[in-house]
Amino acid sequence: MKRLQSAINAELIKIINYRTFWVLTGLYILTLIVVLFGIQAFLNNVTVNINNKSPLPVPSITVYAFPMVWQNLAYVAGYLKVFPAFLIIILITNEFSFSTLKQQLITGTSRAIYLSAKIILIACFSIAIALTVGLCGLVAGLLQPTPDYSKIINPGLWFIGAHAFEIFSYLIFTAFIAIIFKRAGISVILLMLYTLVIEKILVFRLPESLGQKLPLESIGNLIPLPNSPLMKLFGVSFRNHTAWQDIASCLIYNLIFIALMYLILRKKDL
Amino acid sequence: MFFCNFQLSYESKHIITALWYIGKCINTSNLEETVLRMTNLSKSYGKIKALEGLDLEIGKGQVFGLLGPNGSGKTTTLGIVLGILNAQNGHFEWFNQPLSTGSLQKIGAILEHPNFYPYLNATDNLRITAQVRGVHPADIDRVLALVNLSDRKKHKYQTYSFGMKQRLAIASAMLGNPEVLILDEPTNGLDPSGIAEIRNLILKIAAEGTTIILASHLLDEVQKVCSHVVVLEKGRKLFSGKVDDMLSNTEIIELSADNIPLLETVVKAYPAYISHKVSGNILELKTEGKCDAAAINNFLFSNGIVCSHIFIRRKSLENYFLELVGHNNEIH
Repeated sequence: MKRLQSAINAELIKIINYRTFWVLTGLYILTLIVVLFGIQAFLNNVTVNINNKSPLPVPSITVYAFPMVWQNLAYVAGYLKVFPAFLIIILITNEFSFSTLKQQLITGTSRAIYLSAKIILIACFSIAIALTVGLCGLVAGLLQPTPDYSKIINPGLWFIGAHAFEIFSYLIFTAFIAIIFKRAGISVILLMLYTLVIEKILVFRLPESLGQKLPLESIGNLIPLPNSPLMKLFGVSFRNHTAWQDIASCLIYNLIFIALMYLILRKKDL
Repeated sequence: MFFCNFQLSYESKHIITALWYIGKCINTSNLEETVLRMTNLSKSYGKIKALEGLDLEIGKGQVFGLLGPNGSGKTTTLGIVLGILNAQNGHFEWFNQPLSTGSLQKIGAILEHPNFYPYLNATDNLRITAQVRGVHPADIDRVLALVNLSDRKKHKYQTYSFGMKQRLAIASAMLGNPEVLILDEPTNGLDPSGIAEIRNLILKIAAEGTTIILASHLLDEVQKVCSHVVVLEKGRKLFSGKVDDMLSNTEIIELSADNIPLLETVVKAYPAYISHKVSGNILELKTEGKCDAAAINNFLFSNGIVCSHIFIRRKSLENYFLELVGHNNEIH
């Protein structure tokens, strides 16, 4: 325990004095807030435009109404999860480019403790991000003209927890890529390639049952597209809860990636 | 079937157990002397054989030199015993136990280049090392003072000159007063005063009883600082032993007398004779141990030869080394 504590202290020393960390984190939080508070205006714009052209009246979408706000914001924030991913890639590939991982192992850390400290760091990031989203949701909801105070605490709050898990799983996947490739540039390119291109192709090509189980799909599906009056108009209805299959599959992926990371650290010459 | 009667008497069993235990105690105190033992260590990078069957034993308190040209396998050996590289064959033991993080924490090491975070200053970099080893932060100031970096400790690592980076690496290795210090080419890239400083530092640390393993391709440094040495070339061990023995291998006695053939015959009878060579009217004699001119003179005189010329010539260490390496190249 004491060794783990020391390892976590060491990680803190590494990031607290790192200007790049603060700059990136600051920019990310700023972007998050701007986007989260900005969707309403954006959607209003869209609905007005559509209303001008459609025969049927299209209902406006209130993003920040209390029960739905948690899912709405968590869903939108999910699109921004690449930014913390870049931060993780930088932090991990730094250890390889400065050869400080090698030095730390020589000094006497065990690979298991080192990896655990990194994972705990990732977990803290995930929780902090989810809490930020939650806070934005609370503030936005309370700023509404008629907030429904009775509906603040409701099962929708689980989406904030799901968001933390979503970020955590995605960052573990990112850490895995960073440890394999050891260089920041390649890791970023590969992450983007996989996220934007490869997995989408695989989902398209594989049968439904298999495709839904791919890592990023499972991660993304933790928070499904929120239902809105617009969807009801078309008679489409999405889930309004997180499916346990996605949770299980994400957990399995997390365990697999963590095990693989440990094995890579063990076996590879540094 | 042959039935052996193993019914020893009660007393004899006790005596045997006691003797075994005493034997183990005596053995253990001998074993405690060995800090690092390698047996048949081998590693290849694809087709390149970096290490071939290296056997080595390093004792407590020695200043042990790993001498060899670039590419001879010094850094590979150190990487393997520190758990960074995987050996394909053979095994090694620290303090008579397999490698563990506990053993690593008793070892301070620099491998090849200093490795630190450029955006952190010296104190923060050392704080990270101190965290890993469980060392009190006060020790950081002590080691920085030891390497004369106290006035630059709040400056970022990326602003350091190369010599300062080397010194910080040594400071980091010395945090927590490790039992073993491993230095891989610590004087690389330093100016002469820097080299002298490091040399004095090593001698000071050695005097306190720390075992030091020094990898270098500078014969001069190894000769001045080390007590034992192993010479590596292309992953093979060429020579292993005390530095004094290696030096004595480089000494030759030149003899001359009126009757060279008679001199040759007599010299062959000399107790510490190893080999000789005649060139012109000078006979070059190689003897075991240090050359003792007086003893040889006495021996020759008592056998009826009067020397006209006795001279102890020291082959330069560099020539000896090149000879060793060249000889190895001839065979293989």
